[in-house]
Amino acid sequence: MKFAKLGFVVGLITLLLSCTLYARASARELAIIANKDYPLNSISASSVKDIYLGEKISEGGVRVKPMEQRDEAIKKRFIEKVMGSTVDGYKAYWIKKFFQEGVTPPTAKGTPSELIDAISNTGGAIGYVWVDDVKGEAGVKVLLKIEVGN
Amino acid sequence: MRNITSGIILLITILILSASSGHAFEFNGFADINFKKSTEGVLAAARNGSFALGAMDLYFAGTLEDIDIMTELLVSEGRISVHRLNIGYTFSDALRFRVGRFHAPLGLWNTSYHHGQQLQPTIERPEIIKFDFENGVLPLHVVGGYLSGRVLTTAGTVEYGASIDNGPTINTSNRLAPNNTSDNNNGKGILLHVALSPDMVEGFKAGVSGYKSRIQGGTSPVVDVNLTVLGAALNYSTANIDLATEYFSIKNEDNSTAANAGSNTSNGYFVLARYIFKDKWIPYLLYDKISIKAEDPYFDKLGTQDVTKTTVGFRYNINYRSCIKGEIRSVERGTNDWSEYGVQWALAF
Repeated sequence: MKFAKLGFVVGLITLLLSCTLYARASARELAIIANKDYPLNSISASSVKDIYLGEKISEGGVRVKPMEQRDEAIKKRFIEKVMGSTVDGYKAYWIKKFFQEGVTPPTAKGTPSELIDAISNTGGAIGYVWVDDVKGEAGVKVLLKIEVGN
Repeated sequence: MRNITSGIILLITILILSASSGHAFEFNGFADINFKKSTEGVLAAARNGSFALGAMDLYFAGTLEDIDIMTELLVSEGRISVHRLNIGYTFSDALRFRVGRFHAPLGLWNTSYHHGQQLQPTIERPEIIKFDFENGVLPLHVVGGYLSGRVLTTAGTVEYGASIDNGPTINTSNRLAPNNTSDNNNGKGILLHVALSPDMVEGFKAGVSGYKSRIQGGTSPVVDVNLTVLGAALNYSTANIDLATEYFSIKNEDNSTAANAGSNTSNGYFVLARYIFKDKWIPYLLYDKISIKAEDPYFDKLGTQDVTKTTVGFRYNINYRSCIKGEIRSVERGTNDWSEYGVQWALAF
């Protein structure tokens, strides 16, 4: 009976550990990418937040041009995990910000490849894609990778 | 009719521009419908209670080859008016330059809510910061150049700005009006403002502002005063509590040759407290007051009286684009007092 109990506990711990390891292994990452001539080679998560809130609009004399995909799934993950907001809260924020200061919200592009193309061809452009979508394109560089859960 | 046609053409142009993939133009708008009833005097329309179309606020902004452009148009009672129109350049976060017509950064409210009723916490603006076309007393629309910026310091975020403008006039309806196309005197309007959002108190913002201009105009005998406005504003916002207060001192030096010409100082302020429950249910209380010097020719020309107003209101956010507000107001204006009831449905699109 004792062995049965011990076996159950060990099994449970093993299962929990496996789940944790699986979750970590399968956690998705966002890559913050920028035009190759962007003044920085790395960036902090708080600076990314400032850029996507329209609080930071220039970097080293270059106008920062934030972009994003139209895909609601990646947008939702970015807004919740990086911006610390809800989708509605973020949209409401931009209605207000745009109206108050004339700062335009991030430009939306269709697919990851369209976004990467646009960033490659626009000085000061910055955006976010799933890490798997970056295939070493010459026109962009990765500034930061952020784990955003499953 | 001509106005409406021009407006439609303008709107179509804006929509085409905003739909154009070549430029990052963004287009937004606000609309509101109101109902208001009052126990005031003998005005039947007020006593009967009336539905009223609010304003249709159309707004677009964008960047063309690093040149910023923005405009805000108000369509109200078949008339279209340009309330903000400016172009400029952003050198850095610390230095932006704009020329055109903009909302004077006197206090914090005026540049937070502009004409967007859906953003504005209350149905009506506090008396001291009512717009010129609402018979307001402060020059809240100005035409000129504006330098502004924002820097992060060890103490927190500092926002600042300085502008030079035509200064307002008083039109033949005895209302303040920005000199949109020419200046009727050589006394340019000068405005300075600074605000601090300290890191150690999240959600807190304090600002001061000052404005000086010579103002001439109105029906005969015309008014000629040197206006000086000094303002202080405090905002404090948490997830549930939102407090805002602004105070303005208004000094007028009479330039006329009248025997009693002199200097008069009046003031106005408001206090707004809101409790935000689940981002949807927001009861609020607004107290606002203007105390003027009766002998001040500026207020005499504008027809301003002492005002004390207490507003109890409730706002329900249907979603992030739409809200309904209801208010009960107790108003004392001059020697009269009355009650008002108002409901507003406001929308952002």
